[in-house]
Amino acid sequence: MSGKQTDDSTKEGHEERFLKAFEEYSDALFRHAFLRVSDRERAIDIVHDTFTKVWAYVRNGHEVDQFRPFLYKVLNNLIVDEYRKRKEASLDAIMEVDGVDEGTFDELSENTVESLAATLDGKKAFDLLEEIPDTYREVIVLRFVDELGPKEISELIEETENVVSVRLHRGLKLLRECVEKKEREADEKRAAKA
Amino acid sequence: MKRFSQQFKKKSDTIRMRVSERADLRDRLVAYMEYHPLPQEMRSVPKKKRVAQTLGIPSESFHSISINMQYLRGFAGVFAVFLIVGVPLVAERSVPGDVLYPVKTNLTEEVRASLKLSPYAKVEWETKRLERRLSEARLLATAGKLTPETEAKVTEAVKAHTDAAQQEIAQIREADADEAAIAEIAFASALEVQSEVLEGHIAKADKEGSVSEGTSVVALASVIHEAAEVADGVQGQAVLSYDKLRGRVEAETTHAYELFTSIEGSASENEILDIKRRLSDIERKIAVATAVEEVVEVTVVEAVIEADNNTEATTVVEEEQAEALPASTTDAFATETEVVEEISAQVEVEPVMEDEVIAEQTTEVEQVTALRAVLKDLRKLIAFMTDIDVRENVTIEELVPVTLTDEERLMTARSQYNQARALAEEIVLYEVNDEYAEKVEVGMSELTALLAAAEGAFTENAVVAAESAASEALAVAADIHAIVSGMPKKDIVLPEELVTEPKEATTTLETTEEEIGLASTTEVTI
Repeated sequence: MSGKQTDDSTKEGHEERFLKAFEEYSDALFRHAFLRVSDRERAIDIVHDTFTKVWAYVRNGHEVDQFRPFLYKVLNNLIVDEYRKRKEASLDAIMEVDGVDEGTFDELSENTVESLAATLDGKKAFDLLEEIPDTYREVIVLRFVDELGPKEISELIEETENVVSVRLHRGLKLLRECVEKKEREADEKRAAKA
Repeated sequence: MKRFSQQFKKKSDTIRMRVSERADLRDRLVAYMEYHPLPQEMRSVPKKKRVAQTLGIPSESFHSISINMQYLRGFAGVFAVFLIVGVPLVAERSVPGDVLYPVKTNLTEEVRASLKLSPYAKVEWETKRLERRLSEARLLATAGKLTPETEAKVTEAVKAHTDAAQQEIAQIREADADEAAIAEIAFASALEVQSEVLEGHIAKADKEGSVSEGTSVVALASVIHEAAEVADGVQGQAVLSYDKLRGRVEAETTHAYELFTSIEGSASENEILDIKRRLSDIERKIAVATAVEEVVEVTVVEAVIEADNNTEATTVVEEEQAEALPASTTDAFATETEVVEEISAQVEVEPVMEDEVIAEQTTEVEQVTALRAVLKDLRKLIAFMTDIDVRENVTIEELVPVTLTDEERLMTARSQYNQARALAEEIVLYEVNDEYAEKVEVGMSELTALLAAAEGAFTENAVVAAESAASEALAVAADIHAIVSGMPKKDIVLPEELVTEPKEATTTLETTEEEIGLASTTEVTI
C-alpha cells in the first residue's frame, strides 16, 4: 500500500479528502463488490453504503489516515453482511470449517500459489469465479483484482496470513477444477456431437 | 503466475460503473453529506481555530447569512428597479435645491431630449424645459424659497434652453426655412405666454403684499421679457411662405378645437365663453387673410393683361422709329424727340408693373403677418387651455385680447359720436368769456367738422374712418367741455340756430345720455 495521501489531512477539509477518496477508489470498490455479489445494482448500493458509513465515521470525529484499506474493510463487512442475509447457514458453516482447517504445508507456501496460478488460464478462471464459494472468491479478488498483498488481505479479513494463503491456494485449485470440468464437459459435448 | 494475474486483472478491468451510474452515485453521496454535515468544530479545521480564537464563540450566524443573501438579492433587484424607474418618477416633482433635482434636469430631461428625433420636436422640448424651469421658479417663489442664487441658476438654465432652442431653429433653417419660421413663432409665443405668466405672478404677489426676499421673480420676468422681445423681433424678419403657414394655422386650429371640446366639461362657464369668443375671432381673422389672397389673385391677373397691352405698344413705337429714320434732319430731329418722348412714356409703364408686383408682394406679406398673428394667438390660446399655471396667473384677456367685429367697432364709434354730440350741445349752453372765446370757437368748428365726417362714415359703413372721427370728436368735445365747464351757463336766450328750446335741449341730452348708457352696457356685455 502506498502512503501518498497521508499528509493531506491538515491541508484539506474533511469533505474534500472524502470526495477525493471517492473519485479514487469508487471504481475499484464497485468492481470488487460486483465480483463478490454478482449484481450490478446491489454492488452500487453496497459501494454507496460503504461511503456513507465511512462519512458517518468521519463525522463522529474519527480521523482516517488512509482511506483505501478502511474503505475495503467496510466494503468487505457489508458484503459479508449481504451474504449473511442471503444464506446465513451455509456461510457460517463454511467459516467454521475454515476456522478449524489449518491447511497443509503446500497450501501455506506462496510459491505453490504462484505455480498453481501459472497452470491456470486467467480469462477462463475469471469467468468461473462465481462457481467457487465466496470465502475463496474473496481472497482471490483481493489478491488478483484489487492487488492487495497477503498481509493487507489478512488485516482486512481479520485472518492470519496463513489462512489467506491456504484460501488462495484452495481457491485457485477449485478454479482449476472448475476450468477442467468445463473443458471436460465441452469435450464430452463435442464427442457426443461427433 | 504473471500471465494468470495479468489476464485476470485485465478481465476484471472490464467491470466498471457506467459514467451515469458513477455520477448518480456521487450525487447520492454528496446529498447524503449535505444532509449529514460535519459538526461545526470539524469544518475547515485551520479556519475554525482562528475564528474560535478571535471571537471565543462559535459563530452560529454563518447559515443565516447564506439565507439572507437570497433576500439580499431580491432586495437588490427591487432596489435596482426603484433606481431605474422610481427615482426619475420621484425626481419629476423636484424643484431646484432638492436632492433629486439634478436627476430631473441632467438625466430624465436629457434622455427625453435625446429621444426627440426631429429638430422641430427638439425645439418644442427645449421650450417645454424652459417652461418647466419657470414653473419651478414660480413654485419656489410661492413658497418663499426662491433665493437669489436659485433665481440666478434658473435664469442661467432659461438662457441655456433659449440658446438651445435658437440653435435648433437655426439647424432647421438650413433644411427648411418655413419650418424654422413656424418653430420661431411657436417659440416666441411660448416666451410671450411665460412673460405674461410671470407678470401675472408678480401682480398677484403685489396685490397680496407678500413681496419679500425669496418671493420675487422680477429679475426672471425681465429676462424672459427680453428673450420674448428678441424672439419676436427675429421671427418678424424671417420669410415665410403663405401656404405652409396656412397649413400650420389650420392644424393648430383643429388642435385648439380638440382641446376646447376636451376641457368644455371641466371649465367654468365664463372660461368657455371667453375661449369660444377667441376661437371665433381667430376664425374671422383667418377668413380675412384668405379673402385678401383672392383679391391679390385678381389684381395679378389684371396686371398681366396690362403688361400684354404694353408689349404691343412697344412694338408700334419701334415701327414708327424705323419709318422716321430716312426722313430729313429737322424732321428726323422732330421725330426723334417725339420718339424719345414716346419711349420715355413707354418706360414709365415698367415702374407701374413693378408697383403691381410690389403691391402683390406687400399683400402677401400682409397676409403672412396676419396669419402669423393668428398662429401666435392660437399658440397662446392652446397654452392657456393646456397649462394650469398659465390659467392661474393670467386672464385670457391679457393673453389674447378680444378682437372686435366691424359691427362692434361701429357701435363703439357710434356711442363715442353720441357722447361727443351730447357734449357739444352742452357746451353751447355755457357763457364763454373773451379769453377763451376764440379757442372754443375754433374747437367747435373742428368738432362740427369731425361730427359731420363721422356721420358720413357711418352712412358709408367705413369702420376705420368712423372710429377715428368719432374718437377724435369725443376728445375735442371733452377738451372744450373742460374749458367751458368752469364758466356760468347762458341765460335762456340762446342762439336760434343751435338750440330752439331749452327744454328740448335737456331732453335730448337725457336721451343721449341714455343712449350712451345703453351703448356702454352693450359694450360690457360683449
